[in-house]
Amino acid sequence: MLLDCIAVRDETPTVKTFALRPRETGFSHLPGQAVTLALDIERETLYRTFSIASAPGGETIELTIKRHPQGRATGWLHQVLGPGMTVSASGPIGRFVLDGAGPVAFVSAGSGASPLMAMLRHLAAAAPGTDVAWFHAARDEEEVVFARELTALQRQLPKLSVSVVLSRPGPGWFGYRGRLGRRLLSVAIPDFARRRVYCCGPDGFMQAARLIHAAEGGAKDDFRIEHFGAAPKAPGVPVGETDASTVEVTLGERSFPVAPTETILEAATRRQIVIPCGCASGICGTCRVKIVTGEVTMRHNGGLSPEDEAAGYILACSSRPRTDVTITL
Amino acid sequence: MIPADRIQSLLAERRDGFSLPQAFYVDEAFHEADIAAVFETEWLFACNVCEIRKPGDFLTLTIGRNPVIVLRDRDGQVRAFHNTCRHRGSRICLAEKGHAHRLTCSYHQWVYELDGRLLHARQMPGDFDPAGYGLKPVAVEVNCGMVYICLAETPPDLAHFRRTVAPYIAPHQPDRTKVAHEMTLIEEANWKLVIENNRECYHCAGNHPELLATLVEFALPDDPRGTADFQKLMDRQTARWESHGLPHLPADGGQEFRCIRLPFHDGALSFTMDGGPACRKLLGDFTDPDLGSVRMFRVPNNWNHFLADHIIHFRVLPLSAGRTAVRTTWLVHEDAIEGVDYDIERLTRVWIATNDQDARLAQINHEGIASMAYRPGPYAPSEFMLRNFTNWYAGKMAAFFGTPLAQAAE
Ligand SMILES: Cc1cc2nc3c(=O)[nH]c(=O)nc-3n(C[C@H](O)[C@H](O)[C@H](O)COP(=O)(O)OP(=O)(O)OC[C@H]3O[C@@H](n4cnc5c(N)ncnc54)[C@H](O)[C@@H]3O)c2cc1C
Ligand code: FES
Ligand code: FES
Ligand SMILES: [Fe+2]
Repeated sequence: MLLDCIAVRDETPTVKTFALRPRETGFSHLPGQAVTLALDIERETLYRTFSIASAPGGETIELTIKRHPQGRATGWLHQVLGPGMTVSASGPIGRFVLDGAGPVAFVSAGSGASPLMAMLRHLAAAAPGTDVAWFHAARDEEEVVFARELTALQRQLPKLSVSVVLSRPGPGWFGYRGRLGRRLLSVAIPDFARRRVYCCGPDGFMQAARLIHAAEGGAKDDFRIEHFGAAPKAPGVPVGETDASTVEVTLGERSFPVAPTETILEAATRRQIVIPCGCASGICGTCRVKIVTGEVTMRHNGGLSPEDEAAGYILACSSRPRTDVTITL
Repeated sequence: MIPADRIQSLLAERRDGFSLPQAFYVDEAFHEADIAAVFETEWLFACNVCEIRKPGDFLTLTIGRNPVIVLRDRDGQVRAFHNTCRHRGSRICLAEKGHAHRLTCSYHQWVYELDGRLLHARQMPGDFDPAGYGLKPVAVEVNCGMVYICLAETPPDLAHFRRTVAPYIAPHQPDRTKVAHEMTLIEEANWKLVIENNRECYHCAGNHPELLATLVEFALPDDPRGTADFQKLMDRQTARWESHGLPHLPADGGQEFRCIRLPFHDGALSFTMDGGPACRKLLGDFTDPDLGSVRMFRVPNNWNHFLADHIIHFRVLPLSAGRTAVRTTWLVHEDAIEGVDYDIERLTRVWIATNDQDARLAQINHEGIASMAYRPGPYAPSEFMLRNFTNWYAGKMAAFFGTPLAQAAE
């Protein structure tokens, strides 16, 4: 897919918006999706992904891009790309898209505002009654993206509220100052936990926002993020700890494996399944449980009466299962 | 009549590291002695400030035979008064909790301002001076939202306690909570047995299946009975708490108080049956749900758990030698919503079960101590806090009634 550059405008000293028109007709995206540009720079093709900041349905798509100090692609885009030039691209890609109705919260830092802007522009056209609370973090006044457009959008979206926090505000700044924190966010958006959140920014920022949403009582499924950097590594898969000779013991709704070297009580305790116990040596009788099915080998020290033993009771601390066993307290 | 000489001789006979002689637990005259020597002289936990949120909100409690009212005055300050009318002594506030614009005695309607001043005494002669008939004040100290009161004319110094426990409990912001549930259990046991039962977990394995699903039985970070796994868990959790700037090491409270942060079992976050959170909205400004619990105890009548998602206060008040009222309050974030952020049955299930089990244990303990065959028995090493407690208690009694030696010297 080829994109003709139509216009370039400055958003902040380090951010520009590029208006690009797809050559072919029929390009369409969902608000929040991205495109991957294939840029030929110094005889090398660099593939770089950028969110589409414009709403679906227009003739052009807009990318709002921050220039990184050592960034090869973003440096080239800022310095070289201009009207009349063409770039090739693929997409749209991504599952970070607006879905469902109900109140939403946008939480962004820096150029992370781009995909959220697509969502907001879409809502202004398609569902202007939506309750949107946007919390944006930037370095200073100059680096606040979309400031003027957000003012205009508030006229179209009566329930849009915007709060901005700056880490290094200059004189004359009347908004929030500091960093993202639970107290600040819950003042800016008191019902944060009751909103579906779309969050985009550096990983540490998104992690903080996720913890705040959970700490405020928000549901996990209602917190969505877009990674601009590398995705975090998948957590290691725990190594299985059962081997062929273990058997299963079932107590109420829970089952746990018991190794040949263990008593039922030891195995249960390891799993934090509580069987009342005392001496752990077959004397006191506290760990008495009843066998429903299965067989055990038991050697105790007088903690169980012959009558109880005959009635199917065992001492969990003194029994090793021979087969799968079901017990009750 | 309080038998001071019997108290003295039994104190002299008492063995360190053993449970107390029988009379201290079962004798009604000794109960009177406890009230006079302990409950009328010590700082007692009364409630959380969130229970008297607005000016005019009050709460009443009775210490021995002393009805007391704790309230918030018009300036927002927490105050306490003896709940007895300066006319002919009637009890003024009758409800356990409530809201009053002014305190009006229901007998002849003397009216008191929330700061204790007598405002109006109808039919009294023109030369009657109300200034001399204000409510008798009770000393109050608020520590991170926890209200302590003291009936003594000159209360003991609370500064060390305040200073020491505040860093542990302040991050949980007890003052920004609300009561999700409260429960008062009347236990058929002497108050000291209720405290002794609470001060050890020797009995936990055999009696508290719900509690042990999440609570570690160890009372110290380096408990010698702790396994290698426990040490690993402890190291991991303390590193985590340190990264949040949360203190955890045992505080130096001597015999007066104890304060420590300990972890739950690996993977457990709260006092629930499955170890999952009890309230989705965390306390204060926390964003980490895995903070174990701060266990804070203060003689003679209060222990607490401070978790990431809720707080539990326990308040003990003796009713007679063999009866004790234990009030438990579960507190969650002040903005948490029932049914959305928390469910009362889930929040309270573990400790309601544990309280019931402990009430039974205290009762059978009391019943057995009443036997003619009872002799003080030795504390196990894991019962070191009982030794602290009974030594503290014996010291308190000796200070009040004098020791036989001090008597002889006179
Ligand atoms: C799905 C997706 C959507 C994106 N949408 C946008 C968007 O709308 N607007 C936008 O400006 N960017 C967006 N990005 C980020 C963008 O792709 C990168 O900034 C870009 O690839 C940098 O390329 P570069 O060649 O300039 O930098 P490189 O030469 O690849 O990197 C040079 C150095 O720049 C710094 N750097 C590069 N990227 C980042 C970053 N994202 N954060 C912090 N430091 C960085 C690093 O220090 C790096 O070592 C998006 C990324 C993804 C994956
Ligand atoms: S624990 Fe005492 S017999 Fe099993
Ligand atoms: S006793 Fe209170 S008014 Fe008479
Ligand atoms: Fe107990």
